[in-house]
Amino acid sequence: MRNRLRVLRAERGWSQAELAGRLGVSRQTVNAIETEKYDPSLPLAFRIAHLFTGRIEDVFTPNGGEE
Amino acid sequence: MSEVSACKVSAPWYVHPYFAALLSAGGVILSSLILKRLEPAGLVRIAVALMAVPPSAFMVWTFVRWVRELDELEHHIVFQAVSFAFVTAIVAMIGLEGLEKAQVLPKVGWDTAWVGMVFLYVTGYMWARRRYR
Repeated sequence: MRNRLRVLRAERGWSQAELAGRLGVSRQTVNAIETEKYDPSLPLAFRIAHLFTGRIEDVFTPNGGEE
Repeated sequence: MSEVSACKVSAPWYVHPYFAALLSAGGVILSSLILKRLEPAGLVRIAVALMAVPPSAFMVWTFVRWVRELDELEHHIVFQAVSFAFVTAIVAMIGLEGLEKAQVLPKVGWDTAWVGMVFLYVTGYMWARRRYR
């Protein structure tokens, strides 16, 4: 799954640690999601989406996605 | 590990699987030494032989507690490490048993099995953690 987490985080000027704190996860988790080594669970994906745009598809797209 | 574990520090330092593992290992070593050198008899012998069980049970409890407090990626890593240790230990035991039957190796005791599993878990943990770095 692809994502725009790094871009969205940079737009707000947050560090990985700051975002991790807001999401209640570790910095390593944020880094693994940003580098697309780890796909978050659905609840975490929703938490991320709510924190940024509110729409999950604005943050995450499937690998072969049309967006 | 500390980076992730540091997220939720709610328990005292001694309620941690690493400290509990040290206690457990200490119990095993102490028990072996007493049984070999002092050779106690009767109920004392049984008590000494089971000396490592309470700290080992404490280790299991702290491990479960620690795992519950981890975030989802760390859950994933621990799951992969435990799976790796479990499957590799089975394969290793089958291989060792075969070598024992063929009398290529001397009898391997149970006391080496748990040390091997701890080693395999740590190896699996480091391997899984590297994948998500």
